[in-house]
Amino acid sequence: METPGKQSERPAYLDTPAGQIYCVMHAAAGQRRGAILICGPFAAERERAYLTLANWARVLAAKGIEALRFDYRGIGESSGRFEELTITDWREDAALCASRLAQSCPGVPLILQGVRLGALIASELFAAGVGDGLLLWSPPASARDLLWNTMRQDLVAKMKSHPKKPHGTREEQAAAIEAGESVNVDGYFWSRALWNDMRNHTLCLPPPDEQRPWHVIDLARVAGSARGGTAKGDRRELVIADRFWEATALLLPRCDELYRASLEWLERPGLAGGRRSA
Amino acid sequence: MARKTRPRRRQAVRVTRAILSWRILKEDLIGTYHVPETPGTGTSLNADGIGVLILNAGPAPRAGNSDLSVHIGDCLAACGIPVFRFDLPGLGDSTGSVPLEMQAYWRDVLRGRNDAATRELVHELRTQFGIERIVLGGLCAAVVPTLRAADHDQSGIAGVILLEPSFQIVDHGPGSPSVGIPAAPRGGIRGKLRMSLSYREWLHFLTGANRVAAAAGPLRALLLRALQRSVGHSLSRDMNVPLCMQWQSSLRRGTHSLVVVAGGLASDRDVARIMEVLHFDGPGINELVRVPHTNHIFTHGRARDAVVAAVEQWVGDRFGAGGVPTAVRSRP
Repeated sequence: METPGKQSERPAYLDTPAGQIYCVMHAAAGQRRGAILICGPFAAERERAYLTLANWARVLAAKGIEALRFDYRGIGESSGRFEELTITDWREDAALCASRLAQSCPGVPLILQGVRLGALIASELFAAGVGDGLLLWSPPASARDLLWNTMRQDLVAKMKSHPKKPHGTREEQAAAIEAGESVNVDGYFWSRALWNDMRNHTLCLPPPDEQRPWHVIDLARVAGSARGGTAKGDRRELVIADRFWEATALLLPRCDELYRASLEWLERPGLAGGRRSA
Repeated sequence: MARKTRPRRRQAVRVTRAILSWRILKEDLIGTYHVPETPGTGTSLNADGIGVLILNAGPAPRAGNSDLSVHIGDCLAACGIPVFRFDLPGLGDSTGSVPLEMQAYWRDVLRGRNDAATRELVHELRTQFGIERIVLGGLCAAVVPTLRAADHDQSGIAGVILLEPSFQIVDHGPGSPSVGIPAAPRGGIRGKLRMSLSYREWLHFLTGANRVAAAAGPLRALLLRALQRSVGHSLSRDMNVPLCMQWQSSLRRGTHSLVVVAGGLASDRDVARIMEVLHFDGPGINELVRVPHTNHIFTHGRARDAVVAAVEQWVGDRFGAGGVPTAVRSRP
């Protein structure tokens, strides 16, 4: 899939009492059919996923869907100290952005999209009644799962980088955090507040009787292959694509199948082009 | 010269940021402006009237790896220095195309893909913000356009910040011959003898990186000088010699430089080798800071704070912003 050319993109700060939230609005080309809030990954996954999500927002805009990307406070361009913030704070950031997006795009459905940690946040907002649709890319089962896995990958990277230096175990790092120490994981200093808050965030998939459309896409990769493919389910499907939030030798991981599957779902009746529910 | 200072705990300073969007070379380049504290309320003054421009660390967005560039920006802005971070074409939020693979991106960087945009950004910052001179820099691949711009625009660039600079040529493009150091042979006495006489070991010896060199003392320096006179320079064949020369040239014309390397990694050895071979004899002053126990992108350990402190102190020392000493510095 080709990345569309330059469209109207407006980077700006949302000034809030809690700080500045950086966001980029990708204006829909032609008639606006929907609006999507992209809740992205956090910490180092954010920078690895950045180009992929920027391209995805451009794809959406070219299809007539207004897209809003933003940085959580304490990460990237948004203000604040990472060490002082938690997932609950970032959910507030996402809620604020959703509200602003809904105000600026009246009369079209508002879709929440979550990627990795953002999937937990988007699913919580959706459960609270925000949005007309929910699209999740590779959601972790819980914040606890995500943080423990991130810690493991970081330890592996450190062991590779400094094999002779003792690095401790995840359990030791967790104990240090719980004792009030800030621990560097993948370049960000995790605090006790963040660690404790992870227990409050598990993936809340909508119940079977949920009327609003929702969809989950998990990613799988096939080593040494650029071929895409999907395993379809009703609410959940598996797509073969690069795990774009991980370190890779590719600047632009191969996500054509992911984009295609997501667009196919977004084009369903009741989403892009449909009216927003009251 | 080695200087040891006591680290200090950084106070949280709230710095306002603003977004810039400039049309440069047919692309929309997006940047962040760290608005400086006004003189009198900041921790110190920007005596020389400089501004700082930080470029993308490789293909990472302008915030840098683990937001390193953001932390530098906030810290310097709190000292009264305007700091700008821009996404180069195709990176972060800026428009433009990038190649699919990192290797191809690096090759394009060496071929100058970011040079013109960097020069234009320097020009625009000086024009639009009335900044007399710019301090330019960044991590890894950002070093290439930084040094080329410093060599190109002597009057407009006051200094360069080279974080984990890569001076190696890694080009596996079609038709490009491999220029790496030959791999060392292994096994047996014959192999060890061959290895000890290999080109690689000679380089290690000449650059003081092996045990024989440590024992050789002044003999090594004499050999090095003799080699320089006969060959012109004695950098390894995979070294980007033109870029090294541009660095040397900018120092000779008065542009100061700060190099921050991760101790013990390839860039540390390369920079030490370059400084030894090329004789940085001013009037620009080069300062080297080694950050121990970290990785190439300074995300391990407490490297982030060490890098920010080193930049703050260097800017204060060289341009009168009055940074507070916080880092351990050394010259090889």
